[in-house]
Amino acid sequence: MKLKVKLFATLRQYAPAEAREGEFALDVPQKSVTVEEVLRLCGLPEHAVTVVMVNGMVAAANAVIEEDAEVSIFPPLAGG
Amino acid sequence: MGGWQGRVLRLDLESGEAVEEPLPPAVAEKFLGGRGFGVYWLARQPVAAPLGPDNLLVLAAGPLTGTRAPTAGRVTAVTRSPLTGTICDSSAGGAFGARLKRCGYDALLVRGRASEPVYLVITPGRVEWRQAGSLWGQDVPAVFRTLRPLAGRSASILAIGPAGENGVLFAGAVVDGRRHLGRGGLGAVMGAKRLKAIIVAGDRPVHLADRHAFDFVCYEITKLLEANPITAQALPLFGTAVLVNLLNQARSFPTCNFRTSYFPAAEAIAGERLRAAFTVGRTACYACPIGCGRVVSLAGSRVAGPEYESIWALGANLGIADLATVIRANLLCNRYGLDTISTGGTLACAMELSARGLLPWELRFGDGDAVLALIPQIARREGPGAELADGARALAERYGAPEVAMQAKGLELPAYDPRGMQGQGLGFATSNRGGCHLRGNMLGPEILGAPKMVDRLQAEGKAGLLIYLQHNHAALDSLVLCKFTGFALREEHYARLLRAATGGDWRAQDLQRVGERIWNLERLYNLQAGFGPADDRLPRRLLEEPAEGRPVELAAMLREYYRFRRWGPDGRPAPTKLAELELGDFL
Repeated sequence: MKLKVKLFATLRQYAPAEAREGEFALDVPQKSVTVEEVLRLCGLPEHAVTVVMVNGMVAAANAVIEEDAEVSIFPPLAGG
Repeated sequence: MGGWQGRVLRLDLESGEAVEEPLPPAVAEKFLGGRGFGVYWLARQPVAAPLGPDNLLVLAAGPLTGTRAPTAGRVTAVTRSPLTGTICDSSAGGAFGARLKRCGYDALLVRGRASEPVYLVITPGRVEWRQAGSLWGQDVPAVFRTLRPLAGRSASILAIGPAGENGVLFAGAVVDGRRHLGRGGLGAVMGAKRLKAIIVAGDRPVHLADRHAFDFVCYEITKLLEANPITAQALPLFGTAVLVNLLNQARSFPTCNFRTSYFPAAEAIAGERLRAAFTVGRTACYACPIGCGRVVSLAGSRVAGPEYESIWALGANLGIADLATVIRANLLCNRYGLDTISTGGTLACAMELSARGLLPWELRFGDGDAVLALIPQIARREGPGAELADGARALAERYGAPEVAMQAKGLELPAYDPRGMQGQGLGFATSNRGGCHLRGNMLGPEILGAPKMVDRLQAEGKAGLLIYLQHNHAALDSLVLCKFTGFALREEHYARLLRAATGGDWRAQDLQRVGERIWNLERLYNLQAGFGPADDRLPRRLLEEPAEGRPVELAAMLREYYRFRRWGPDGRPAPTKLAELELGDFL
């Protein structure tokens, strides 16, 4: 199945060359996948990620992701 | 007594008198400094008209200010806001707090109105009153170009621009040319007092109770700040604008006057874009190892870059997706001395009124050129700018649609849509200075997962967490330290700094208690000024329209909030609560 992945801030260094503004399609061989597995498939170091949103909602590491979902991945950040 | 200098300076702009007073040790221990000192002195006198001579303007440092503690150069200003009518504090970076403290003072208490424009030069044991006739009317960069050579490099300068002189109700004051006492209109208070600027230049030492221990704690917490990924990477690399994409992805990024909570073009104004296309350097305040300030290149010039809040207020909330336009709008606000959040909030209100056909002149969402033309007019109160200069609430009421003003207690809301952050909505409604995220920022628990992640769309259980943060922030505003240190440090670190600086037996829970005392005294002040439970509210849109989240369940959260605070249905703290907080004198 296919997912839309968006990487932000310092994580954009891990995006494939064809990615535009950190966004790319991810082909997942199996029919279901967890947040944790997506991070591994994207080659993201575990410690570099703090927030993952699936379709705008914060998702836990073991959350199962549906086909065509938009997965947004953020490093530690703050501001205000 | 280490930490505090033990003296405050009262200045009367009418009589020209400057009187030194001792700082009572009990006041220092109960209110710490900064915001706490300000509310203490405001609450000791009758509530005054914000732009009248009797309104007190307090500029205060804290017990750590002027030391080598990270970010300990800041100053807090406290006064009664002309925009909201509430008590209002505003905190700014730069070095004004440090230089004030090194003049030998913990606070300046300014009252009265000068007969002619003046600026003050304060050095240890001396106050010079200088005529500011030639400075009056000058914009902020011009004022600093004039005063900096006179003041010397080791001085710090606080000044207002034309917006403050002209009584724009959301005019701010500028510290050292680049940091801002932004919210609530204290620039208008200075303008009403005909006080153009204050220069502080001092080199007196700040006595520390245990210098060896203090140096050790400073070393330790600097290491923590340098190791934390937020304070060592995210903020230095991207500045605060790194939040744009995060809040937008969370569908909590107010767009076009909060009509929606998702801005499709956010990437064009995000921190990543700012860094890649514009950023050429960064700036840091006094003793700050973080350095979140941006220097950007615009048309060949190196200029100050916008913060997250300003990018939102002058970008997404106006439907503007061109970052160069946002940078220009931000520079104009800085030049004239305007709060960017309220400027953007008021312009967004005008845009919606125009879209509804209620405004007799046209202003379309997304019209960057019109925004750039209007900002100077607001500062000068000219043409349509005169209608905008009193803020969104006044504008919307003038045209018979008060619900269009996105404000709480008259203060334009900041860059978080509470329909995606229920607790933040409760924070906006209960903030003592009006709609503001810096009173108790729920960004941490509701979006960032710090100190723990909570369900941002749930209302239940938010009150207790918010109250903790409100007390924590009140204490930080009184120390006076930057809240960004809180991403790497815990209250115990601040308590250890205080123990070493003052010699007192400070613990983390003492900071919570000071914060609670300050919060309740601010509440008493606002009650005295005519506010009540009916003012703890949000715009109707946030309570009825879901946008991309859920309408804010404010009533339920408020009930829990009042109960936890031991406030009655009339919004008054219970006498037993006041006694517990040693606030009985203020009843």
